[in-house]
Amino acid sequence: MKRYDVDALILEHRRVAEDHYWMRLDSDAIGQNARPGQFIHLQVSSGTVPLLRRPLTVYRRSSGSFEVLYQVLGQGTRLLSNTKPGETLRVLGPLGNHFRVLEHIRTALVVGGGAGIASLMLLVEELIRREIPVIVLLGAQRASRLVAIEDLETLGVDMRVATDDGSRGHQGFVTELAEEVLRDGLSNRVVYGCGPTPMMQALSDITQRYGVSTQLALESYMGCALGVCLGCMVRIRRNGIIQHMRVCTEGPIFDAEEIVW
Amino acid sequence: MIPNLAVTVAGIQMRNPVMVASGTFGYGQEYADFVDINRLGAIVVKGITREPWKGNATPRIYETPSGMLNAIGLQNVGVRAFLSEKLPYLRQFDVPVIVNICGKTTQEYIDVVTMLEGSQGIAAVEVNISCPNIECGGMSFGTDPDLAHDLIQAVRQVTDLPLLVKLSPNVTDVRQIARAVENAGADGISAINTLLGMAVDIDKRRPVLANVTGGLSGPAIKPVALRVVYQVAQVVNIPIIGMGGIMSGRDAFEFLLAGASAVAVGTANFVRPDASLCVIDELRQLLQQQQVQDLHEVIGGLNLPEGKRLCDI
Repeated sequence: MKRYDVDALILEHRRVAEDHYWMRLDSDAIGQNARPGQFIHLQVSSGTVPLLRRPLTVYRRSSGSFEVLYQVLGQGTRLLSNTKPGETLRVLGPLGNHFRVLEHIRTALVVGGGAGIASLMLLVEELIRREIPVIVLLGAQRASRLVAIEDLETLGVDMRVATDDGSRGHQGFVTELAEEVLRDGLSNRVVYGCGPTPMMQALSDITQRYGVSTQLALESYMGCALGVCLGCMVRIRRNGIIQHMRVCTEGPIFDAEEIVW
Repeated sequence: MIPNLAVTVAGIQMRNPVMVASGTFGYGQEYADFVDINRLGAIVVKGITREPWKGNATPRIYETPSGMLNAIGLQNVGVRAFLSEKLPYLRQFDVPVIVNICGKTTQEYIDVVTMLEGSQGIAAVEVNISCPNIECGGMSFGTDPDLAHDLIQAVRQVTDLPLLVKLSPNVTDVRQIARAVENAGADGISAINTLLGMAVDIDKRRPVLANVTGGLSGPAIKPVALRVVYQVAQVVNIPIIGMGGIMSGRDAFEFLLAGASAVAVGTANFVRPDASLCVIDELRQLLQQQQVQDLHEVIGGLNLPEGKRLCDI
């Protein structure tokens, strides 16, 4: 699939939760072409600090623009959070593989931890479009860090929330909600997840225990995001062999059972 | 008037002096969406070894101020797969292909070169004696003048292809290594490979990279690279390809003045996939502004302060 490297105008940019920001950028190329789980590589500084771009998942898209939803975690995202509508950012994308929605799926369980829900929104929209029943589980440390809730409510999906401190919804981990849902043992379902690594690992353990097919969107430090620098490798067990695979090109979506944590 | 950028380096005819550096442009195909490959001076492909190498454990890269550390460990498909799967794609372009090679032993270097010899579409070999991320071989050849000499001499005996030797900056006196490889029959020198570096995570109290140390690249190392190119240019008669932190045409111009006959764009390819083309266009503009008619007018054209001699550097 064709990838683009374009200057994208910031159309809207605002803080949506504690340490979390939402931004809409003008780009037909990304807006038209991004598929669920794909990402862009964004230049946050025209100088040399930070030098490398930042990979951000495409949150939502339309014909002329796309959105990102991100957490401020370090220097790059801090700088990004200070950019304003009217400024232009260099954007490379859409990149990576995408979530697969197979024909036989009867129900889908979508599990997002923190800003991880950003990787899953396009997927939720596609599941709804294809009339596949979907349950969204959303987790965060506390209520003030929950994102995407209003957008999910607008879509009218069955949504359940967990916070570590109980400030909203179930007190505990979002993976506990996942186990609750899976316990009823319905067949032909699939789990999609994205979040902090410990959460995804826990989710993977649970879904494998229940024998449910699971696709996870992984994160990694990235250099080029084009498959060249070989910096973003993850260990994948495929056909009995453990091999390094690139999160940027063979991923970011991998089957949970293949990931060597 | 548009300046003439064409240059022949170590027998490699290039339409301009800007190459893409090994390991930062894959095997070309990965960048085809963004770069008209026919516009490049040359392509140096990702390092090739006799057998496929799996590379190092992760994390392998880490960003640093104006630079990045990498400890990839020369993961590559091996020479057989390179010849059958990667090289055919590159043959469609009218651009010199330079094959970077590495090995753990002299015999491995010889075997790779022997297998490349006779393949259509290879303009030159760049012998990597400066990779800091592998346990044996690699940089150990590049930090000892005698070992460097013997390796290049051995490789020289099995090929007629132009031989470039990529030098490490992680040495006390790079001039000794440069002289040694020139005496052994090298046709050109690539300078520099990455600087050995390290990063520390205070929360985990661990090195950030799984390999503990890694190679530093990017604009942070440009002053070191310029110094090495300048020093080497004083003591060898073979051409130098300058590299290390080149982000712009201005950077490239600096390397040419310091004594490089050509340059390579490396880490910048990760920041802007079309960085090499930006460098070419900007270099042409700068030469034009300075009313330079031919690139050769500026190669090694540095005016030293009065009274400064080689022994001062």
